[in-house]
Amino acid sequence: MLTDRTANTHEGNGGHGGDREVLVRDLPVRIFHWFLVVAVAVALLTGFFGEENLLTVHVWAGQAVAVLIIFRVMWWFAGGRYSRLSAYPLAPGRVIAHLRNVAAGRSPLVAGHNPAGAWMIVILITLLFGLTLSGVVALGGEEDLGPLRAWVSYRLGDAAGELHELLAWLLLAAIAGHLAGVFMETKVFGHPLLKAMTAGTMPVPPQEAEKGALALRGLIVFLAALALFVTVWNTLSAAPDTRWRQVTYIKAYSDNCGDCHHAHHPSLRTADMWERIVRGLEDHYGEDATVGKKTEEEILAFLKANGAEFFDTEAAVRLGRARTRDLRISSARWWKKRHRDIPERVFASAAVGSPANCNACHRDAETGRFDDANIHIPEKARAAGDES
Amino acid sequence: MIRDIAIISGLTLAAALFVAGAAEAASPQEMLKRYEAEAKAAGDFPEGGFSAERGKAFYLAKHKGGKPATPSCTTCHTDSPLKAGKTRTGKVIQPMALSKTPDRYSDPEKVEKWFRRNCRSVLGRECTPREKGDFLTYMISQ
Repeated sequence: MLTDRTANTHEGNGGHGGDREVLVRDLPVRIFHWFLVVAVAVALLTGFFGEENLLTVHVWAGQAVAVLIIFRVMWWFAGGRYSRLSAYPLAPGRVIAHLRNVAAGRSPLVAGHNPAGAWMIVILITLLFGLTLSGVVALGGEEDLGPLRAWVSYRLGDAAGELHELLAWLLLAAIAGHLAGVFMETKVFGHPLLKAMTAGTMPVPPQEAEKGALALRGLIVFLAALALFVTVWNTLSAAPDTRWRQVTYIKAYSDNCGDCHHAHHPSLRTADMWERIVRGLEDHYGEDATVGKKTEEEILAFLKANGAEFFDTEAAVRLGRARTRDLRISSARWWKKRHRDIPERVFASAAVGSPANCNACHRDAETGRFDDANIHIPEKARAAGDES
Repeated sequence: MIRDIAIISGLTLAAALFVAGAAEAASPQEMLKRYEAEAKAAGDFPEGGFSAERGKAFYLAKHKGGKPATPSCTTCHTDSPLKAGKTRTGKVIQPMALSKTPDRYSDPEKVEKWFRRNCRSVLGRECTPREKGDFLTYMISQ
């Protein structure tokens, strides 16, 4: 069976002058390929070069990749004769034979995929599967967003983020290998692979032709893949989030603390640190910030009831629970690491004021979420930073 | 029917807000009277009454005894009460002059809180009723 489908090789590196162009790539697989190119390009660009707030676009690209990958795996079993996994010459013997051929300067034209190309597809699809999976775990854990946010802890999400980055580098290497392979095939051996992936045709004997364009079947399988993805995403996303909750600020806190600086989210310090801060208001970073006994108790109770212990967000874990000697949030190593690319002058600018005013750039600082997608450095502050 | 309910609830709300506001509010003049009484009780009420001149000098002076970061009112409020100031964390403070920020000095609790905090930060002690009276007279005159 497998041999029947893939044994249609020809001697030499081409020389099919007598063969007319016949269809060898079904339409869905070609459309899939080019949509995947665009989605992956957007994901890579936003992932490697995008500022934090492009995460939204990155996630859209990742969702597109996920749907396309689901479609492609389904198409491995429902697609045209050359799109099926069962048609791939993956056996080690086939690979070795192919590599020997290439070493000897030969690569027979095949209507399907040669062993190197077939393995490339499997590797790319596997990497992309790993990338979407690690991405959605990282999104859930680090950002408390997406379908897995209720199940993944911040720490697990953080680890998944590291894996996601590693896989992205591997993907880049695989893409480079894929392009090198296509370059070799087209330029060195003269096989019109680009035409096969666009027009869908190759100059091979008519009996090797694809059965048809399979457009309708492709559409049905794609819609099935889309429906599967949307259903799973939405079903999981509907689960209640226990790692973050909305805090209702009390007036005593917003008024008294918010008069001088952004009233920090309670999850940015632990109960014992809040205790030390509020009990030490007589000398609050060089100023008397006393509020009176009754108000002090009220504020402290509010802060302790909503401290870092009660949240599993990036801010609560990395900043809230970080012990800093001067009790400042901005003294935490993580804070410094995440803000190292921001010039002093941006903080000093009128639009920001100082590192204490989280909400100048983090539009959701009040919620304690600090989503990447909500970071917006004010234009004026950015300009001040550029002058330095 | 619905419209009537809306009007009635609106009026009730407005009345409630008015009452709530009236309970707390005092005018800057009433604040002055309060400090006058306190100064007199302490035997420290100046002969010619509170003075904007002295208030101005107090506002601009560099004081000793407070915390090093805040030697003067001007540290945060700038050298003119007509200008907006800035907290040390960079938050804007509306001008101190009553003409620029008309809703100032009408909540006794708030006025007292800030006198307490800032006098301790700048002078290292609470201000006397006389100092408060002079300061307030200066701000009202601006």
